[in-house]
Amino acid sequence: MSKLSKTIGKFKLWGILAAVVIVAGIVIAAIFGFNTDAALSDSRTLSVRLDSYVTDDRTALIREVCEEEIGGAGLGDKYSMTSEFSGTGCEIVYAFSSSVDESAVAAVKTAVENRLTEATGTQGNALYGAYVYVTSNAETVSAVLPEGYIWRAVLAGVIAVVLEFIYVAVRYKLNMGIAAAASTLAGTLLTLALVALVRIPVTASVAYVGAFALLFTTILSLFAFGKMRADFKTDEYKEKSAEDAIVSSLPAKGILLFCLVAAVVLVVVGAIATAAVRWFAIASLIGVAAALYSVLLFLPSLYLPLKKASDKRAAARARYDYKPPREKKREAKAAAAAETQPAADKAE
Amino acid sequence: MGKKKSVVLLTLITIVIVALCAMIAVPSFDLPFPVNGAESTWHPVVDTYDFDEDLGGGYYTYYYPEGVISEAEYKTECESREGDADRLEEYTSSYTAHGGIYLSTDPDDGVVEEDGNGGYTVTESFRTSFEAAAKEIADRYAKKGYSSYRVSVVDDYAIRVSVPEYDTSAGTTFQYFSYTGGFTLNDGTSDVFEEGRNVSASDYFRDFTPESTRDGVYVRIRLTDEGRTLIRDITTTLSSSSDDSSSSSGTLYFRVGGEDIISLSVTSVIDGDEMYIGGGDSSYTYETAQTVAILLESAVQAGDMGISFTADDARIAPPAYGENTRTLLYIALAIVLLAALVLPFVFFRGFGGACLYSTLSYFIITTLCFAFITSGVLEFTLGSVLIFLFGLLVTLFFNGSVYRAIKAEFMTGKTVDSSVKGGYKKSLAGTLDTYAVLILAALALLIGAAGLHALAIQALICLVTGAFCNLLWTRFISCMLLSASKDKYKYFGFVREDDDDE
Repeated sequence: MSKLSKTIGKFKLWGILAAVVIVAGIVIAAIFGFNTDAALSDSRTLSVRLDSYVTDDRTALIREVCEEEIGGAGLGDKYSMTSEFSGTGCEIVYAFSSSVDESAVAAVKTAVENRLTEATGTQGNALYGAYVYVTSNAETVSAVLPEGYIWRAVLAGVIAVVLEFIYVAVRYKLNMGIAAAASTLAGTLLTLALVALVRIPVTASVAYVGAFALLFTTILSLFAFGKMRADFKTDEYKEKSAEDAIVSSLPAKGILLFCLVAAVVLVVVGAIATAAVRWFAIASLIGVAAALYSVLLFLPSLYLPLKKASDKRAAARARYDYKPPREKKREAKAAAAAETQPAADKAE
Repeated sequence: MGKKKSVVLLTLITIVIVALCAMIAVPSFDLPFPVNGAESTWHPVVDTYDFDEDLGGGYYTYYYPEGVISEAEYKTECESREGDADRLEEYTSSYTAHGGIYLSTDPDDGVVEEDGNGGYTVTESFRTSFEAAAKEIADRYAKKGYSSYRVSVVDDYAIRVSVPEYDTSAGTTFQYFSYTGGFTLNDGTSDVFEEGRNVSASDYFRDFTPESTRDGVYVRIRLTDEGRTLIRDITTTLSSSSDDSSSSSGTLYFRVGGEDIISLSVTSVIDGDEMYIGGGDSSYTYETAQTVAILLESAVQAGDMGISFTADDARIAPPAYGENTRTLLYIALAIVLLAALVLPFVFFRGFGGACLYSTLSYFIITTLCFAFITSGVLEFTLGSVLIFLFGLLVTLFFNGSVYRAIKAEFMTGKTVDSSVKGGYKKSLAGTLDTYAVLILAALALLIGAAGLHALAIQALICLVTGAFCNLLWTRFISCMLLSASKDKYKYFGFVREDDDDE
């Protein structure tokens, strides 16, 4: 509680920090884009096509030769795969970064070609008599995203935030709706910005991480405001200052526990799975961290001034001679008119 | 509920849950008995999903423009001429290497021209045509709405395309999307109209879209007024020329680059703003209709691109990061699920049993829905895994918050029954509000395209299931477990404080 009371009044700090990260992320994403996953980025490839009957021995031998030559040349492949033809044959592909020197790949190709040619002509060798073709290519990716993917994702996110605002504003309070929507927006944007900034390799699935961050921040905001709404109705909280009320009501432990469990789950999934899943789990982990920041730091500090203003209005309304501002204005106008009228009469 | 009834009902529920879990998760194995007289393999539900490229791999192929061949083809042709030096010399001089591909030096192909230094340069017209065609082909794949796919240019003048494994008509897609010629209508003897200065296919056709109904799948063709007149006139001619006695019919061909895409048997006059053309057999799936619609739309709008492609053999590729991607993911998910089943017992004692049933029910409902509601329509991606875990976490969290609310009620001195009622009542509003907002957000995400749309539907499945488990199912199971348990206090792990008066 004491730690939260230190952070709650620093909306400018949390707001500026979030804004800086988001703007930096947008700038980086606009200039360099997201760091696309190796499987979806430009590459140089070394392919060995086996146009004969495929056996495990043959593919193992081809792989062994390729890997020895690739390793010998000091080239690190991004990924490799063995694909099958619908008829006979298979193709073993090694993909390298596009920055790898063309001549280095060409040298590996020649070396692999020579060794495999020798193998196909050697009796007793698993590849004896097989037709093997080695090629190296440069690939430039031209399309990976479905039509309308980005703008529809953005529109969906905006509508989700608007719906959250409307629901929370109607069911809870207007200021809670504003804070919840702002927090969700901040959590989602922070996630995407951080993924762009730390250059995590992503595929089109970065949109899933964005959607996850949106849902995750939404649920945390709802936990927070659900508890606050219930607490603020009690007499104990009515007497507290806005700051104390928010700090003591915010279910920080519950939120932390929820995030911790989510983080552990993502770590388990990321630790066991392959690279594609691992990077996705790390990006999702960033989503959890961003949601935590948004709900534990950004949300209370944003909600504090809103609650103060709302409490002030409520206090004014509670006074016995309270009149709504519009009525006050009308009365002031009438009074002013009454004052000017006698003066005008006198002048006449 | 009586104790006996509770036990019987719980036993039945347990049997159903165990059976369903086995159906979902028992790994593949060869069945020891024949099914319909043939050897068969058992496949769990989790293996029947339509996986995206990250999890399931896919298919890929290469498109080579006319006058461009792969190095493998070049070498094969050279090997076939090895015994004849002249033919080999003639062949090798008819191609020039460009990276890993070979370009025809034949002036008729118009791919390269001599640069005066004994070398060759690619002609400007070929380069322009290739770039335009490559862009159009990429656009066609973008319109397919795959959650993951890739179109890349290989060595400047060939194209590599890869699509996820769930596209059951990938072969058709690869073949059809390689057609870059102009659109024509042919009545079996001649083209109905010639693309020219004054006539364009887009004057006749508004758009082409795939449609799916209970009766089958179709390509819907919307016609302009001119198109309606044209189709009416052709079908009038074709239907009148058909032999009534043998009930044979004239055929109207929709062609792209000279290839038949749709062969429409005409038995009567077609006069309307729209036409629906189906495939006629079960192999004509929605994906096929979608491919046909996208190709026709593209050909009508883009016209003849002045270049033709040949699609190479399709390859079946595993996930880029290894064939065991899915296995490792399932192991990780199994560990998480196991923890989700065991940990509630540590924290919530007997109520952990209700949580166990709730978690297993969530697992069963969502995995079955993923397989049978979205199968063939939507794909299983990393996002699906994430959203499944999110829903599981939310379900567990609300079960935990109910337990806390019950405990808080109990601490005020209420009886167990009264605490359970009070606990559920107190936590109801928060649970409902949270699920309502999350479901609204998931509904908004339906606007998203491709994988995001699939994710939104899967999120809705997870959230509705989670809400059902939290609001009804866990309470129902808990009620039965409570009835069956000897000590209600022990069930919740509560300690009854002795009354001082006693």
